[in-house]
Amino acid sequence: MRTITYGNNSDVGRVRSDNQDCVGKFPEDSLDLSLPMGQLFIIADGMGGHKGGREASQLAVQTIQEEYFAGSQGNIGECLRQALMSANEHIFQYSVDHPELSGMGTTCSALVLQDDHAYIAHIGDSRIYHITKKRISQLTQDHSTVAEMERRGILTKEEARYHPERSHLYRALGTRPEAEVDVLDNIDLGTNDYFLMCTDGLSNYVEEGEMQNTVLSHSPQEACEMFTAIANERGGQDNITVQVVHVSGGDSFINRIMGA
Amino acid sequence: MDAIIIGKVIDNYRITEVLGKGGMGVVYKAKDTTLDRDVALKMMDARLASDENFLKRFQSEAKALAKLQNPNIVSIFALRESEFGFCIVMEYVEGNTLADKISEMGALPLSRTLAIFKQLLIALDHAHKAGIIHRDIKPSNVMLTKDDVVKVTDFGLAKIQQTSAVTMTMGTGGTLFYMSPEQVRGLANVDQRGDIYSLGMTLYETLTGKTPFTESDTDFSIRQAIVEGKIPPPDRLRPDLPKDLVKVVMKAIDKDPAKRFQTAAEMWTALEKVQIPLPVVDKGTTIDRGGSRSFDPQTKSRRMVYLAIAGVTAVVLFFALRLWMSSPSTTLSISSEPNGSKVFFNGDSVGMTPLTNITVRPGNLSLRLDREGYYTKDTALVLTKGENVSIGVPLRKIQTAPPETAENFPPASSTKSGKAKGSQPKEQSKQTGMATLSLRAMPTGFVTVDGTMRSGNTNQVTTVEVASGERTILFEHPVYGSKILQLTLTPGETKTITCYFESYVSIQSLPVWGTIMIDGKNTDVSTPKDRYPLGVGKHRVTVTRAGYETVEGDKEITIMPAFKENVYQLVFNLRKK
Repeated sequence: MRTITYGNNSDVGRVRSDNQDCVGKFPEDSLDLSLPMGQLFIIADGMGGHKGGREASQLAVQTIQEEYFAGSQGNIGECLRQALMSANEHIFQYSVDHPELSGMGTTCSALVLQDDHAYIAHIGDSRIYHITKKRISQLTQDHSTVAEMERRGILTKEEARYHPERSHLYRALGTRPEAEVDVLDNIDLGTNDYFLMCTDGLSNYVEEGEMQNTVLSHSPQEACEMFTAIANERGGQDNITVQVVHVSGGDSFINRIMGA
Repeated sequence: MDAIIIGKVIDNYRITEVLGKGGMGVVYKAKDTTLDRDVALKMMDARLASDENFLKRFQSEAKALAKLQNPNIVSIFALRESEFGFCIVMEYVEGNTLADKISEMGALPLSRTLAIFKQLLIALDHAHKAGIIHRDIKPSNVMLTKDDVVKVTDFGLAKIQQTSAVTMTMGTGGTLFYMSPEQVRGLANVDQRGDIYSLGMTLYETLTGKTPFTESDTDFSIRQAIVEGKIPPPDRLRPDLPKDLVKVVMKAIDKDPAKRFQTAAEMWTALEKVQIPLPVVDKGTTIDRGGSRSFDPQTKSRRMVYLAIAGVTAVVLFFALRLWMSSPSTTLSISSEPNGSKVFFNGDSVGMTPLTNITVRPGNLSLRLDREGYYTKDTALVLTKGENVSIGVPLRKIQTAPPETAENFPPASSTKSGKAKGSQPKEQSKQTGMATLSLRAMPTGFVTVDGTMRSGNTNQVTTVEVASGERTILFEHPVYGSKILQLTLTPGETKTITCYFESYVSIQSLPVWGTIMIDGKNTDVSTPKDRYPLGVGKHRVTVTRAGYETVEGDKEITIMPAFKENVYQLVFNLRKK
């Protein structure tokens, strides 16, 4: 039987005057992985001015949890994708109705844990990492212009790191009528997995090795608080939001197939 | 929002119409009601205007830009904050952009293109010398008046925009086509050669009517092509282009900044050398457009007249020649001492000195001579019909150390012997009964010792040797009045005296920043401001910010001439209205 513990923390940082990030976990009153729609974790980093950014990230979290659990039919990955697309329409329409907020948008990374599997839907440059004792791997791809240029070899890693436009996104929720969402389906869970979700306010300051060590040696909530403290110590240029989920117990992948 | 704001008044600007939408926000036409002139107001996007760090940066940058004064650069007059947000008040230019021209006509005629780009290079040269990089040169930032006078707009704004903390997903738009490889790579040291590249791309498009990219190119494939790809030479698209000109374009857009023209002046010289083949029919030229200008003997150079003639039919050629030959032409020959100076007629570049027998239109002509290392010479001529005028203009060399004080106001006989002032040991002064005075007026002023003027209207230190004993020193500011000092000097004594006709105020506002108003006028300076200079007299100081008022109202401060530097501290508390 798998059980989860999780923690999260969101901090304004040391430079910005308000927090435009948003984080959530649903359903709020359950940790049961066997529910048909599982457990949903969301993180969003809003952009487009004080008001627009905050509203966009909140709208995203709100709409996605409503739409996702209302879906309840079919494949979980597909439901997640639909939920993000609805949030996109919702935010875009909101910016049309409120011209002073035009250009508002948000990144969004959502994770569902259900039984033996994890599911991910993602757009923007927030990140989801999968961490085990042996490795840390980034499950999401940054949809920033600079990251894409680096993938195509136009920029070196070093150039990408200090590029003045590194926060410029070519894909986001709410900025266009249509959104292209990345979905990862059926990620097999082991017997001791961690998921780290964070906005660029953290990933700009903390390398993967440090993320892995911190997550493995602390409770999820402690780790989250440590991460925001570290990012602030190193500059805190942006809002910092982080959510850590620990999934343990159950059968490993091998045992599951062998047993079947 | 656009409609609501029409007819509204911001300070002394009445908004009359929408001119367009730019990267930072909407641009309006407005009437400056005090000066009765049209201006353009660039209103900032509300999202940018709510970013306090961005605004700070914006204000300091805009101040540097406001100092750029050149006939080929759109001037920035002021910065204003209003209930509608922040805006930049700029020169209003009646005309179209080069982008409009290209989409309307396709490739532009060679002669016209060269005339436009020479002006563009002069604008760039001026800005680069002032240390300002445009960073976003593209056809839509090049305004053309109906006489084809170039006005470059949005100088330096790209940099300000980039510093915005607001994470934006908006595309770079058309700008991408003209971005230099170093800009795409986000390198920190983008310098004037980045502008040369963008100008080269703009020239490419003006000559061919197209950019080297195709519609199927994505944002990323364009970026890739800029950094690594091969750009086909422009004569691939327009085979009749002179080889020299193709070389100029390809040199300007070299991926390696070190292989490009290093300065705008260097590129200007290269363009100047391009020979336009006479018998070739210039494709873009149409009779009603290029023609009407070229028939007129006012045309800047004969070469242009010939060119247009080459492009039109024989009938028109006949008329054109008749018209040209029958009008009593006024010719002008200009030389400068030294020669090699760029010459501008009414803001248009016409070549370098010496120039002989240039045909010009009778009437007023504003003439500018510009040579590196020399003071720019501006003068106006009135030319009558049929006149042949020949002028020689002496240019004054820019000195690094201004010797003016000494030259214009030679110290009285006593200091003639002091030629070796620095090297002469003090003992000599002692023996001769002389004393040394180092005198200075700040920020400027005349200095008189015992009735003899020792220094002109300057803030330079004037060192004079005077006889010991009682001396009367008069410091006089042209506006702020004077202050007298009487003192007794002993032989060999050295005294340094500075008279301040202004004091400094350091102004702060709490809890938010605001704009400083002095004597009812908006200074365009925001708080906190350290050492804002105030001249002699009574001043009223306050801070404004839309939606706020100061708890203290105005503060009055009186400045008197003084022999020490005074700094006053003013703190205002702002509260929401």
